[in-house]
Amino acid sequence: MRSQYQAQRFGKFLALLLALCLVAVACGGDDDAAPSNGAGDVATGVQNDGDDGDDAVAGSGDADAPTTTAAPVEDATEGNVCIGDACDEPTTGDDEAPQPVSGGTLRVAVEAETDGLNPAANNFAVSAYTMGYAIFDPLFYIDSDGNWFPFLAESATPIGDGSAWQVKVREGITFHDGTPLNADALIANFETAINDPIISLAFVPSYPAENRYEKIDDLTLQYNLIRPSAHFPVNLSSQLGMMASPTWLAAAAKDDSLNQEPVGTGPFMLESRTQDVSTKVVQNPDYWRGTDDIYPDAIEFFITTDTALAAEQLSAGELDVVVTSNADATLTLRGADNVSTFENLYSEEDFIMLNTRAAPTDDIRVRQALTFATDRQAYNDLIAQGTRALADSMYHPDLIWNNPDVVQEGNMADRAGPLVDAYCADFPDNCSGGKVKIELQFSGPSTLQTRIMDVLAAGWEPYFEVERQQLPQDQHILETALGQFQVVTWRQFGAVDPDNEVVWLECATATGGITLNWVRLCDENRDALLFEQRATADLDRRVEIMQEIQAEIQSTYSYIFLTHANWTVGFRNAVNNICGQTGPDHTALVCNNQGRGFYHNVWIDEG
Amino acid sequence: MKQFILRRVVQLVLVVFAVTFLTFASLNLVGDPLFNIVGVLSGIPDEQCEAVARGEIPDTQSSGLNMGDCALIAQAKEQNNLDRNVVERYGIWLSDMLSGDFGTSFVNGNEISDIVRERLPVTVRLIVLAQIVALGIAIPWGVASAYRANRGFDKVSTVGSFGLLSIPNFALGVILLYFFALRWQIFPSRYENAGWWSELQALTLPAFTLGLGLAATYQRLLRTDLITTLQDDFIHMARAKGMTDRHIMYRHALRPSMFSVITVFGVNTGALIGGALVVEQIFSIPGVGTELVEAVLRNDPPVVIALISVVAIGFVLINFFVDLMYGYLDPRVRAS
Amino acid sequence: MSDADANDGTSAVEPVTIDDGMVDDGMVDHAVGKKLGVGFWIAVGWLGVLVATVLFAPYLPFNDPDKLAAGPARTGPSLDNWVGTAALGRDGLARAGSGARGALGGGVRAERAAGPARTGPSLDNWFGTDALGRDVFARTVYGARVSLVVGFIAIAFGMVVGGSLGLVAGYFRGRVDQVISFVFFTLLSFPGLILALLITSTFDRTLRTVSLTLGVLAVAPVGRLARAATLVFAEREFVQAARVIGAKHFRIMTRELLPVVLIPMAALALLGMGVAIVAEGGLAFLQLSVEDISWGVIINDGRGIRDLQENPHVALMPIGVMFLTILALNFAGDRVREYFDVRETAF
Repeated sequence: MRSQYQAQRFGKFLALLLALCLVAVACGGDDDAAPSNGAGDVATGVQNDGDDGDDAVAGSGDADAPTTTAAPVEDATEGNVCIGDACDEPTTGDDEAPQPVSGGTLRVAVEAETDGLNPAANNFAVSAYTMGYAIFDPLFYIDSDGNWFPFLAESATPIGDGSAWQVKVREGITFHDGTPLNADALIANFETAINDPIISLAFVPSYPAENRYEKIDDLTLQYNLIRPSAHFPVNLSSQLGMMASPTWLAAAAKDDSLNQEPVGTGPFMLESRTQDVSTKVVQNPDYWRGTDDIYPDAIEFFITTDTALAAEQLSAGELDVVVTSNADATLTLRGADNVSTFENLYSEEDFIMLNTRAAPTDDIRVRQALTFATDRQAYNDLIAQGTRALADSMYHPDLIWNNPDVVQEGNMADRAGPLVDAYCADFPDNCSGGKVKIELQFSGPSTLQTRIMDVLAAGWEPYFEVERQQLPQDQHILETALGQFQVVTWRQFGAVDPDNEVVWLECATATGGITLNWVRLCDENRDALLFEQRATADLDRRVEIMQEIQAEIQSTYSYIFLTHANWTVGFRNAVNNICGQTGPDHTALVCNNQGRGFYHNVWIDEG
Repeated sequence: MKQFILRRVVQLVLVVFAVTFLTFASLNLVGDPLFNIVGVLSGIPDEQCEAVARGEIPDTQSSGLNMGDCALIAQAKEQNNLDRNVVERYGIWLSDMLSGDFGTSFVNGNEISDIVRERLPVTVRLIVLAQIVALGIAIPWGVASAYRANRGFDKVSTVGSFGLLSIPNFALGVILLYFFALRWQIFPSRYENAGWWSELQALTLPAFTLGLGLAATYQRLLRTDLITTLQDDFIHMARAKGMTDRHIMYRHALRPSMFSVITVFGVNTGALIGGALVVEQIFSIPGVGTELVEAVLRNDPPVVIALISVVAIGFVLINFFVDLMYGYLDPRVRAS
Repeated sequence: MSDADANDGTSAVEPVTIDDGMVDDGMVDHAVGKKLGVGFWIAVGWLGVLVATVLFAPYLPFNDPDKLAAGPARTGPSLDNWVGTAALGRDGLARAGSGARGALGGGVRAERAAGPARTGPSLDNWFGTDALGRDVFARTVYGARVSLVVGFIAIAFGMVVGGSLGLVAGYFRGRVDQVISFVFFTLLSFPGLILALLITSTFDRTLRTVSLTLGVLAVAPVGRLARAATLVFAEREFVQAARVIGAKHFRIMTRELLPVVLIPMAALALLGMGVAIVAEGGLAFLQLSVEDISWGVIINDGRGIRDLQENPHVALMPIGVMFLTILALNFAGDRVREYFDVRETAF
C-alpha cells in the first residue's frame, strides 16, 4: 500500500525525533543524563590539561600540511584517572611489554542503542561512536597530545584566512563494498549530512547557502566556510568526518533500514546487528592500514542499559569492556576484582537548563531563585556519589579554559524566598500559595532520572510548586529543541576545543523552530567573542575569550551546573592496551574521549 | 464434533477481528497518529498549511519549522490514509497484514515482519520452557501430595504452594537473578544464543521465574483432581490386584486427573505472555516482550499493533487447540 | 448439570466453575460444621493491621517517605528553612491534590530526619534507607496506599461491571449471553498485562486510569464466574418460584440471584485483589504505573544491581510485605472458597 519512497521519507522524519535524542540528556536508558553529543558533535575534542604546553604542530608528516595551533596537552592520560591493577602494568614500548595476542572476540557493553549507524544520517552518541569507530575511519582524529592529525585524510590546508579548507584523502583506500574513497565520496557524505534535518543543524550555520564545497581534484575537496576558522579539521574528527560508502549512502537514502547495515573503510565490518541487543563486527581482511596490529578477530557490542549490571557481568568474565557514565556502574567497576578503569573526569557537564523565553523562567528572578534553591550538594552526594566533581562552569578547574572566578551558586535557599515573593507579587497567575509554579520536564521511565528529579525537587519545593512531566525520550528532546519547556536536566559541553561549543551558544541556533541553543538566549556580544575565538590561533586570547564567556553565561542564570560527568571505561585486567591505540603512522590516539574509544589494538591475554 | 470445531473456528475468527480492531482503534483514536508519524509537525495548524498552499505565506521559517513541513504533513496523511475513518484504515491495515505486509517501524524503518521473526521464537521458547518447568515440578509434586492427602507432606506443600503463588514474578525474577546469576554465578546473567546449550542456560532462570508460580497452580489443581480420582472404583480394583502405589498413581490415576490442568493450560499461557513482558525485561532477553515495551516507550504504533496482534492471535489459537483437545477428551463437550 | 452444557458461544474451557454439589445441598447447609480456621483469621488480621496502618500513616510517628538523606553538607540555613517550612504544613499542602496519598487524608506528617543513604535496618529506619537516604519503611507504608487502593478499586470495578454482565448473561441466556460471553472471551484474549500496558501508555498514568485499567482486566474473570453461578442458580426452585409468582426480571436478579452469586464472587474478589496488586506492581516495575510511590515502584527502585548488593533491603523489605499481603489475600480467599465450596479457580 505504501510507496517505498514515501515510507522512507517519513522514516527519516521519525529519525528526526529519535535523532534529536542523541543530542540530549536522557537517552541512555537508566543513565542520569544520556550521552549528548549529537548534532553538536561536529565538535569533538580532547581534554586539555595544563596551560604551558608548546603549541603543537598538527598534521601529518606531509610537508605541505599546514601548521595549526591546537590546544596543548601536558598529560598523556588526558584527564583519565586509572584505577585498578592493570594500571601498574608496563606500557607498550617497554622492554617488558607483554606480547600482543591475536584473536578472540572482544565483548564490549555500551549503555544505549542507536537508531542507526549512518554517520551522515543518524546522530551518534557515545554508544554509536564506540560501534562506529570500528566500522568507519574518521578523516581526522585527535592524538594523545590533544592535536588533530589526518587519519583517512592525507592533509588539510587552510586557504587564505582560513575561510576555506582543502582536504586531501589518501590514495587507494576502498570501502568494504569496493567503492573507492575520493573527493566524490567526501561530497556524497557532505551532501547526505547537510540534507539531514538534524545532522545539518549543527554545522549548517558555518557554511554559505551556496558553493559550500569545490572539487579540486580526484582526491581533494575544498570546504568553503562563512567565517574564518583556525580549527576546521577538528570538526571532521567526529561523526561528520566518518566516511561512509557513497554507494551505501545512496541506497540508505531510499531504504531506511539500510542504516542498520553500515559500510565504511574501518578495520571491522558489520557481521550482524539486532537492535537493542547486540552488534557484531568482524575483522576486515583488506584493511588499508594492514591487519598486523588489529588484534581482535571480532568485536561484539552489547546494549546493556543497566551498566551496573554490565559491570557485574564484567567481573564475572562475561564481558571484556564496559563504557558508562553511571555512578553506580563506576563504583561497581572500581570495587570489582580483576577489573580496572580509565575514568575521564573532565568530560561533559551535567546541568539544569532554564528556558529564557518561556514564563516563568523568562524572568531572571525565577531563574536566580531556582539556582539558589538548587541542592547541588545533595546531587553530588546522592547521584554522583563521589565519582564526579562539582561543576562551576563548562570547564573543569584543571583545564586552561576554566575561569576560576566563576562559581556556580546553589545551596543558598534563604536567598530564593525574597525573589519568589517579588515575582509572585508581579505575576500572581504564575504562582500558587506563594510558590512559583514550574514544570520540570524529564525523560523516562528511568529509575535514575526519577531519583534525580526527587533530589532536585526536594530542594525547590519550599519555593516552587514543581510539576513533573515525564516524557518518552524522543518527545522530551524534541520539546526541548522546540523551546516547549521550562526546566530540564541536560548533559553537554566537554569538548576539548572550545570552538566546538559555539553551536550551543550562538544566536544562529537560538531562534527558529528547532534550536540547539536550547535556552534560547541570544547575545550579540557573545557571538562576536565566539567568532573571534574561532578565527584566532592565539591560545592566550582564546582562553581569555572563553573565560569571559563563562562569566557572561553565569550572569544570565540560564544554566545551573551540577557536576562534571565521569566517563568510565572499565575492563578486565586480561584486556590489554585499552589506552594504547594508534592511528596511521603509529600516531597514538587520545584515550577515552568522553567514553568514545577505538578498540582496534586491544588484545586479550588470559594467561 | 464437526459442528463443534466449526463453531470454534467462527469464534476464533471473530475474536481475532475484535482483538486487532480494538488495538488498532485505541492506538489510532487515543493517540494522534499524525504526531506519531511527523512528530511536532503535527502541531502545525491546518489553516497555516492551507495558506501555504494558496501561496499566501512562504513555506519557510515563517511556519516555525523550515523543511517543507506542509508537504510532509500532506504526504503523511495521504500515505497513511489519515483522512479516512478508522474502520477504513483498519481494513487497509488488515488486508496488508493478511498479505504478509506488517509495515515498517515509524522510528527505525525496520521491517516489522523481521522483528517478529527475530523476537517471537525467543519468547515462544521461553514460554515452552516455563510450561515444561511448571509441569515437571507440578506432576510429581501433585502426585506426592495427593498420595497421602492431608498428611504432613501435603500440609507443608500446601503452605509452599500458597507461598509460590504469592510471590510476584518480578520479585521472584529479581531474587533469582541476584542469587543464581550474580552472587553464585550458576547461570549467566546475560542472554546469549550461541547454540541451544547457551540459550538453554540463559533461559533457565527466566523460565523458573515464570514457571514456579504456575507449578503451584497446577499442583493444586492436580492434587484436587487426583484425590477425587483416587476414590474411583477402578483405582480400588487396581489396588486389589496388588499393583504398586507408584504404578497406580502414574499409570492409572494421573491421566484422568489432568483435566483441570489442561483446562487452565491455555489461560495460563496468556498469563505467561504477560509475565514475559516483565521477566524478559529483568533478564534482558530479546523477545517479543522487551520489544513491545520498547515500542510503547518510543511511540512506535505500527510495531505495537503488530506485536499485540501476533501475541493475541497466538493466545487465541492456543486456547482454540486446548478447546479441541478438551472436546476430544471429554465426550460431554463434544455432545453439546 | 455440567457447566459446559449451558456454555454456548464461548469456550468449553471454563476457568471458573461452581461445584455441582452446591446445587444439591445449598450454600447454607454446606457451611454448617465448617470453620474458616485460625489461618484465615491471621490473614484477616494482617490485612486489618495493614489497612489501619495505611489509613492512619500520616498521624503515626513514621518518617517522611520523601525526605532525603541528611548528609554533612545538608546542614546550615537551608535545612533550618526546610524544617520551618515543613512545620507550617508544607507537606499537607503539597500532598492535598496528589492522588491517593492526598485522598486518603494528607495530614501533616511527623518530620524526622531520615538516615544517610543506603543504610541497613536500624531503630530509626526499621527497613533501612534507600539510595537517596529515604526511609524504606515509610515508603513501604505509603506505597501500600497506592497498591491497596488500586487493588480495591480494580476488583470493585470488576465486581460491579463483570458481576452485572455475568448476571444478565446467565439469567437471560440466548443472544444476550452469546454477546456478553463473546465480550468476555475477547477481553480474555488479551494477555492481561499487555492490555494494561496498552491502556496506560495511550491514556495517562493517573491513579484512576491505572485502577480502572486493572478493573477492566477483572471484568471477564469475575463476569464468567457470575455467569456460571447464575446459570446454576437460575434453575433452582427459589428462582423458579419467584418467576411463577410473576416477579420482574430485575427483581429476581437483584433480590434472588445476586445474594447467592455474591458468595462465590467474594472468594474470587479476595484472590482478584491480590492479582490486581501484583499487576499494578508489574506495571510499576515497567515504570508504566501511577507516578507515585507504590510497592512496584519501590521494588523497581531497589533492583539495580548495586542496590541489590549494597542494600538489598530496599527491594527485599517491600517484597516481603507485598508477599505477606498477597499470601493473606490468597489464603483468605481460598478459605472462603472452601468454606462455601466454590471449586478451585484460575483467575
